[in-house]
Amino acid sequence: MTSIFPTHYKRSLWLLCLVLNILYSCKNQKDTDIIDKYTTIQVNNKSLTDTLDLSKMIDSVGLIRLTDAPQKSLAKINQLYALSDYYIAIDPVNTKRVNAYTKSGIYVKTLLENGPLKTDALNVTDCYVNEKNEVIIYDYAQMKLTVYDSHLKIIKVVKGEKLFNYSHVASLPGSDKFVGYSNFNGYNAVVQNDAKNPSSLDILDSTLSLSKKHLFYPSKFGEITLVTLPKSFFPFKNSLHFFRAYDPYVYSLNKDGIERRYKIIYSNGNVPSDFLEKIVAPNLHAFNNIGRDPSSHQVVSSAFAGYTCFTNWLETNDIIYLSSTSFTDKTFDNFNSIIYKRDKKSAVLSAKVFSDNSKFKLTFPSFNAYDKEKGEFLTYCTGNRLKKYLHPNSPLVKQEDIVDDSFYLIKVRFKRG
Amino acid sequence: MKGQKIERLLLYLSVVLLLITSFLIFNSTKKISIKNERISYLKDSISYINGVNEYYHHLLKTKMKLSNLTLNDKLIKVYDITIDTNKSAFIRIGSIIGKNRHSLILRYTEIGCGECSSLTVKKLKALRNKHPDLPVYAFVDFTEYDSYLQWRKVGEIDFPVFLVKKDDLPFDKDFQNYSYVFLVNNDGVATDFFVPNSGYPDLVDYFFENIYKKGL
Repeated sequence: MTSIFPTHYKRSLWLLCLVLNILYSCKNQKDTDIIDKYTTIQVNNKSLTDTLDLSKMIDSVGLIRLTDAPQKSLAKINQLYALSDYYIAIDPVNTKRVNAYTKSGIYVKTLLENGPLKTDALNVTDCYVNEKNEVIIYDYAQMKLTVYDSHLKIIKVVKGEKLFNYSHVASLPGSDKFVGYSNFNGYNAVVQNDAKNPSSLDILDSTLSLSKKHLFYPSKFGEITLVTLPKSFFPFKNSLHFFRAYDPYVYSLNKDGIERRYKIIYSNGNVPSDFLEKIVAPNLHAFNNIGRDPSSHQVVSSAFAGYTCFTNWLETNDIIYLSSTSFTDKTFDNFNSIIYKRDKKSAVLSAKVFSDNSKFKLTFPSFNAYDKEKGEFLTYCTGNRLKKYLHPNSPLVKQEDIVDDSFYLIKVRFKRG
Repeated sequence: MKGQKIERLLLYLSVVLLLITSFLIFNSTKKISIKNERISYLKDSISYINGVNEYYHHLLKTKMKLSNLTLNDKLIKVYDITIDTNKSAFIRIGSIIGKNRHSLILRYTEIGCGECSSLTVKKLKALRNKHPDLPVYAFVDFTEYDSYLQWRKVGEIDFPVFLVKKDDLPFDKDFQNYSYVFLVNNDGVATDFFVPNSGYPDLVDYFFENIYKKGL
């Protein structure tokens, strides 16, 4: 019997099928390209002390007042960064502006703010300082990034062709690419013409076009509202660390790929890895309507009650500073941890607040930023709050010299070793 | 030989058919994606128009529901926080509004549209500079002293500010999480409620121009 197709045609057809199959597999390849290379950190939060005195570990504490900028004040500081010569502060909620201050706290200029001019932003929502000390400001409404050098001069302005929505945007070390993070945002997937495959972490090329997607989730969760942290990126050496509220992993990204670098396990209230199906899915209606229906708020609060997740991550060569939150039915309790990287088993110090009771005499608010050049952990508060943080007889400032409605920066350097 | 020719012809035809089908699938996928994009734009436009309609509908409803309501001097606790203190003693609302024929009140809520509130404060300050004879007061519901201090500093508030707890005014619930303004006479009768919206600045201007004439 003669074959219908000659042998070489058969081979070609098989080859074609194989190529199509490979192409299809590549298209549907999801989080399998995230490498597991993580160190597990155990945080004991079962019986937290209220205040932990760190006097013996502290080398120096500094306090500076950020001078008021007429017509350009910030109503709140949401993120803080340190450059070699400047501090950068952003208020993306009330005044929608990013201000720069000298290291002694003098207002220098407003880098970007919402306004009617072409050079103004439509909606400033995020700011990031990368490993090269470049300041990247994200205009959410225009999918536009304005990048400044360490002397606060504009290097470039990039405007994406498609209006993706991200909570935070950072640059990818070792490349001209960017990374965008959106919590749960089905809209992005629609704009990406990939409505069935929404993702939380996207790699964008130098023109802000989509290059690669990571951290996929089922499309039924595309409209849910969940906690978005004030910031989710931290530059460390030649990599970019990424973290989010309900995910136990801290990811590390660079031009070569993405890996899970750390895993945080709380002794009390660890968020389950399948929390979307376990916590969100049974209350999907409430999670979808939290902004519209007041009763949904209570349902969501109750669903997350008892769980703990981290809210900020700062890392140096020696230590990791971790801020965490435990949700209760109506409110939440914050606590902080210092993890010594050399000694993984026993060197995790946790307390609701840290303080210096001996020399500088003050209680520290949670640290928000790290000044890598000066080796200082930074935090901020209003003068009104500072009065409460300072213990009697603190040598840092006299109570009567504190201005209630000004912002103050507290700088702490820990002893090495 | 003839059979082989037919086989080859069949093979070529199937390859051509495959190419045509792939092209048609690609083409229709592209068209569907363009249509989806257009639907998305259309949805956005409809949402915008619905938002505008909702806003006007809300204004109309409050206009019909709330008119000539009297502020109860005995029930509403008011604290003067204009000066730097969060420990002021409570005063009667009548002692503030009773002095003038009409007063314009900004009921400021810290939750809600921040840009709408900022625009209102700017317009109120302009109105006050232009017409100092119409007293302007802010009744705020801040729960944190820090937030109040920053609001006052950033907005450069120069009119008297009083703390009135959320829902202590009888019409707070009708405005949910929106800041609003209204006129009140010296007997405590409140009229002309308006919810300023930064999306419609012309309407805000129109309201303030006309409220001044009414307040005289």
